[in-house]
Amino acid sequence: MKKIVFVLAAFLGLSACEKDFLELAPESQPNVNDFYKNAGDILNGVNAAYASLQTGSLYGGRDFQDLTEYRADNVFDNDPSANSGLRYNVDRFLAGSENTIFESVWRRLYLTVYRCNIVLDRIDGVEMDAALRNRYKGELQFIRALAYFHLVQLWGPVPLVLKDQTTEASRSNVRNTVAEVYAALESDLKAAATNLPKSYAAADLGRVTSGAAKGLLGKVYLTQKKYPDAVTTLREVVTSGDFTLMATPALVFDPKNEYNKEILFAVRFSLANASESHGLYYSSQIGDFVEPSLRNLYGATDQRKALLDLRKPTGTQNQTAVKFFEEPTNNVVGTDFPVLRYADVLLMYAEALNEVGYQATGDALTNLNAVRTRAGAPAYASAELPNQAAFRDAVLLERRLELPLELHRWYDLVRTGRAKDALKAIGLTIQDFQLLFPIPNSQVQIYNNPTGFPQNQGY
Amino acid sequence: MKLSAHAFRRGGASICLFLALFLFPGISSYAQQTIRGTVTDEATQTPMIGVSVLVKGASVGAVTDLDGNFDLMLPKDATTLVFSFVGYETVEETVAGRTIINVVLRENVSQLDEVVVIGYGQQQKKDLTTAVATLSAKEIRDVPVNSFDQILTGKMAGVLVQQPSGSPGAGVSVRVRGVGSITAGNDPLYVIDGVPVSADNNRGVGSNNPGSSYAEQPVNVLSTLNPADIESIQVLKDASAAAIYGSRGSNGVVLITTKKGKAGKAVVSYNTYVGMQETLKRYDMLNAYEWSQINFEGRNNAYRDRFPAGKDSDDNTVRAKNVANQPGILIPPQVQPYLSGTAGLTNTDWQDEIFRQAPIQDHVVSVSGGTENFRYYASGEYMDQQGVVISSGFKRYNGRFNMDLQSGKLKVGLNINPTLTQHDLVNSEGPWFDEGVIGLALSISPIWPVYNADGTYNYDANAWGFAMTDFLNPVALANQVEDNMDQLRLLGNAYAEYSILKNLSYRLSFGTDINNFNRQFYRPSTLETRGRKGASAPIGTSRTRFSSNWLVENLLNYNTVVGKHNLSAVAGFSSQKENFFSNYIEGTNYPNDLVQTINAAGQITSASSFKEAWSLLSALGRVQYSYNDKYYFSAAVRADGSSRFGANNKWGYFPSASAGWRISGEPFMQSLEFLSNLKLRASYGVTGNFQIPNYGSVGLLSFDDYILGGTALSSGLAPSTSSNPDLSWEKTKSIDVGIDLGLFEDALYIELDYYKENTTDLLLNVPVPMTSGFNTELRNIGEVENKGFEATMTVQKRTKAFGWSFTANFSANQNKVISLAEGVPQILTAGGTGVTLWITKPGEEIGSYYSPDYDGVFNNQAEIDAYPHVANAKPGDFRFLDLNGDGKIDFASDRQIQGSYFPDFTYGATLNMDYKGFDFSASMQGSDGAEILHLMSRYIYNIEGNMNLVRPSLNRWISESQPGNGQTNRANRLATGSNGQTSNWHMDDGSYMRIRNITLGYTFPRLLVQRAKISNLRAYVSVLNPFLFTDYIGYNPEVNSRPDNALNPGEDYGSYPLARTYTFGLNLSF
Repeated sequence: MKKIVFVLAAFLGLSACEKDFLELAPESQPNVNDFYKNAGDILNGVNAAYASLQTGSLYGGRDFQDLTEYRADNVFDNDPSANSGLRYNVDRFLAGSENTIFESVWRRLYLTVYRCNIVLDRIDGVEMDAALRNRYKGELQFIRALAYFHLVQLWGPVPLVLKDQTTEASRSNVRNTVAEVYAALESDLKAAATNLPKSYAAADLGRVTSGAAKGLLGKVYLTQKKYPDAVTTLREVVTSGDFTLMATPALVFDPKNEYNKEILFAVRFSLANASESHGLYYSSQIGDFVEPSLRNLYGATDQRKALLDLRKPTGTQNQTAVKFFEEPTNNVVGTDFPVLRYADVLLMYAEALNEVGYQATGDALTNLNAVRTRAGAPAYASAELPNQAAFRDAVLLERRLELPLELHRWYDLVRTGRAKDALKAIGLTIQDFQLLFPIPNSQVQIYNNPTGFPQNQGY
Repeated sequence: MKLSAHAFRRGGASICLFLALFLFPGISSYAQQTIRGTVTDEATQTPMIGVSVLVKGASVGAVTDLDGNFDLMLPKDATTLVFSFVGYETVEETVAGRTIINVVLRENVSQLDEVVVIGYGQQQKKDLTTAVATLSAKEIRDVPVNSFDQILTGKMAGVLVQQPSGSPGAGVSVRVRGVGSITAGNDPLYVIDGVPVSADNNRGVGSNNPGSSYAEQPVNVLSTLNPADIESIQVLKDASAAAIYGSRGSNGVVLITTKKGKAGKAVVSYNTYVGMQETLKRYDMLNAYEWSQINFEGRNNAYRDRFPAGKDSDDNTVRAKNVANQPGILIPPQVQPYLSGTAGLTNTDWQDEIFRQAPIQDHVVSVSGGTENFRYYASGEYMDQQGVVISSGFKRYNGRFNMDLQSGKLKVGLNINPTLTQHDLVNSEGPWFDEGVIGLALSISPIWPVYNADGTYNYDANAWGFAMTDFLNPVALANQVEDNMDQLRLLGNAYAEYSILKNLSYRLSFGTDINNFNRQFYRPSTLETRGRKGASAPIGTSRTRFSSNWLVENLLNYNTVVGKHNLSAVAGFSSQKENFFSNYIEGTNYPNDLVQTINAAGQITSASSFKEAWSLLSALGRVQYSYNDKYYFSAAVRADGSSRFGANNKWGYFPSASAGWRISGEPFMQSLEFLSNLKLRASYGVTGNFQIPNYGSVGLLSFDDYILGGTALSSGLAPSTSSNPDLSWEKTKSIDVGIDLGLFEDALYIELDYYKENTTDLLLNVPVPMTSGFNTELRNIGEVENKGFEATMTVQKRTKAFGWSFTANFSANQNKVISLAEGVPQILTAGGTGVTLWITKPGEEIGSYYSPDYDGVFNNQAEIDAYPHVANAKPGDFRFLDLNGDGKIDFASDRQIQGSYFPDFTYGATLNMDYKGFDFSASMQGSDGAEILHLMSRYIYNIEGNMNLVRPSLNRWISESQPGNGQTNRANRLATGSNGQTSNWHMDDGSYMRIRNITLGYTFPRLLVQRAKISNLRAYVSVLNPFLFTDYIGYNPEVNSRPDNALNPGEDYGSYPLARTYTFGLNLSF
């Protein structure tokens, strides 16, 4: 038939070239067949990996907060009827695997991994400056590790995908062990720490530095209770002199002082471009969302208390915490989201040192007090923290006071084994299986592999 | 060769055509004898104008004049004259030496001689072996609507026409024999005068408002046609009929033929109607006093949920002390006066404020006429329809010129149809939070006035506080947002046909469809932003879209009659291509509201442009054979190659065959005199659906930028779709068997059809593991079946003065998913909210509602304790069924299918009567068994006392001793018990019966009007949608928030009501 068409066409002098006529390439969007061919393409691929962190599912919106702050004991969902309780149910441990918040975060974390994988797969085949290639690799290794770090903490054993896969191949993925995931992300972060520069030119401010990679690696060690490794790595960050504490806690979050010397890594936003902005974090028009127990913990002189005060943008009923406040334009703001900051590093360092061996005085206490005194809170005398357990309590308390709303609380509670007690204190009784989240129902169904890809126990 | 191809694309074809037009001189016949005569109408005994008088076997003829007279020169060897007129029985008269021949023509009651357009040809109805539905110009007149597809409603068996939105110019959903495709679109192919037009224009210029994720209803691309220009509409229903359109035929094909001139004196006509429209149905909402009571009650219950000792009489100070930081338990001071019953307070009926009586008018002037060799039809139309929602409207300026010229063996023709339509748009379908004015008018509290005392708009419902949801003033939104879309369309085609041999002709045709859309949107600073007091930052957008579509077809036609054998064949080659280009610019920071065009924007916040194209190359052939008007066979095949198909699947082949047996033609049936016609038909065919994305087979990258440095944008690109080189069209295999039965000279005529259609290789966004970096992938997979039964019955009777006819049709279609992809046991899709689900799975209908099952309310704590319940359920909250019996309520697993948007059956009937000069027609139609998800109930039936509520809210549970109707939850501002979970409580029966149209007309006696040089004058009054019988709670039981998404149909999240229209019309011709 095709030949007949051809003959007819030729006879009538119409279309000589079927190929030309029937093969139309997209004109307004690049396609994968032509991409990842030069250094410019690679740069675009790297930037897109950063951009993946900006979405509402991760650092740009509420879903991530639902899993790591609302779920814990710092904030609570005050609007149970909204969206038929979609978010409320996550907060109150009522949500099952069908709850779309879980899928939203899972999907975006793996999408982030994919964006890193596809560039890392192709970068060695592209002709470009070797130093630049190493830097790009380092940036992607960091972002991939960050995504896996979240995945493994939220869901435990997850599939470890480190190559660009066809959709068909991805159907045979299975859940790797937690140890395998940690091994991979440690290896990524070590490589990143080597590959990455200490700093960038002003135009590239916001890219991952070697300091950020080390800071995150320290956190990974700490989470795995590899305390000596954590001490070594975090000490490198502390002694590098690349980072300092801001004079006051408010300065860290001042929208006019973004990506300051206290920030190791933040996800960047801007009000200048509508597509690079986000809605006010933790915005609510119902009422307060900060647990009273948290507010009551602050001492009278502690400047961090004011960061949790509620503030309304002009003319609205919405309110959010001062920590993330910026006057919105068209209901959006451009504040960065800090992923890792120096105060966090100092507290991790203090915690790791104490776990390696309690010392009445020394670096651990010095660094803990550095964070406290910066906030206007009185320094601990060493007699107040007479043993390892007391110090451990103090440093965890300090993390709660210093880092609320910054997506650390749930992880801190789980890794220190204190989640059940902390939630009991706010009236929620939970079971051990609830320390991991349910795998999104849709994914369990797609794999349909109860041995290789089971649902988390209890769900 | 390449050069010529390029030249061709630049319009070489039309040059070719016009050259051809002048190359062949006319051939005149040599005449010898003059014959004269008069033709009269048997029924009215009046002369007939425009009757064609042909000399049999020659190309000589004439047409009767105003007085019914004709004269012509008879060629030497001529023996017979043939008199024909549309709708009348053809008469042959032997000349036999006469010079005056007077003829009486009789109106044709039999439908069998009706000519049916079947795509690349035409056929007499009696010869049909496939399922084709037809509608003629007479049947579509007098209906005051802006597009012809609305007229099809309820008129054809197997053609389901729904109007999901009453917005003027909004799209109409036409489904031929159910829904075969899950994602690739279910609109039929529209072919206007032989040119298949693309459905891609239905989207207009993108339909979202800035920042909105809720789609508006699509525009109706067919509203550019003037219904008065249409001669006939045919719908090719089965695959055998539609297979000649190959990869575009599987949703059925609608063939539209416009009017041609008739030989004779020029007839000038003026057709007009003027009318008034009003909403057909409204919600019954609470008034301000009733609402305030529920507001109070909802807050008291929320208060006592937190502080059980609380009393209704506690004032806000006491409440705030007992429950800190919870504004949802306080009583807004503005509500207090209503509670104490103060008379004469503001009590706004917001529906009255946004709806109006809206005028509609239409004026068509046409002129047609010509000679036997040159015929023309030209018309101009102006239509102005205001919408029943304030600030909405539709205008159309339409022109048409059709002409045919015959010169010996050459025939050429031209149809040109330029149209300008202007849509004055209002965001009517969106939810209240998306500035949908109807959703807002229903939700906003009636205690607020529309205007302040100083005449400015009142915005007190915005940023009210007290945990009251923020609402903008819908009247302010409708009046102040400027949103206008213009569409300029040039639809045209030209052909040249040459008789190579007596039986063989060649036809070259060229068609084009050029569309230009322009949409300007401006939201002024005087409007507030939701949730924020005071002036807003204005937002403006400017959008354009240009598309050009061209088609070239070459056809060879062969017809021969040898004895009792009748053979016709067609073969051809066609190529078609469409290009689009669109722009979108969005800006803000306007210095003031004076200049609203985008140039005044101080900051461009978004700008994009998009370019796409598709092409289609086809070969087609068809052979039709009949023997002795008893046995019929037909076979056709089409091959389509398209740019949309993946590299591994560039070409598709679509064969079909059909056969018919006219049993009544057999000798052994002749004794049954009452039986005028009995025919059995059967057909089989394969068609396709090529409504797949233009570049669906190629993995694409999308921009995703990042901020580095200060505020500078660093561009990023990442894959957004995966590649699938195997991507191809969807295939539909269909069988159809039918019976045509005519009794008593076809005074009773019945058509019955049974069909079964199986669509395979469904285009699905198949979920893939998210670890691949994608969540879905476009693949051809799965199977859907539609099977059904259709019946049409016509009874007609005509005496000299009185005539009547009654037509009724009935269709039942059953839709079933046969299979989906491996590893995809079901597809769950969410609609207006994340917890509102539809399921598509084998054994069930596409897009069935899938939700928890509510079963009344818990009347007391004991009932709660005795049955599984959600954690915070309290007396007065919903009792959900533990469907899987696991002892707990889990909204992931405690769900079941709760019906679907598909009706079980639909029906329609039309009655026509005429007596002397009077004519009367009435039509009705109905649908039974469809379910509608009235998602608006989430808001206006949630009994939170927050938004305004529908009247049945008064049946709510108040206390154990006052349980209401036992089905309605308690008032509670901070709802417990997951009452808001979308369940069958939000569903409503969408069955309805509607009187569609009633028309009474009067044709003035010819003798009377002839004195005023008027040849025909008719006046009529008509009511469209006079009555609607339904239990549906909302405006429109045909509502569908996403008419082009098969996976989650039937949602009502605020919709534009349909109108009842009263009109007065005139048909005048000179």
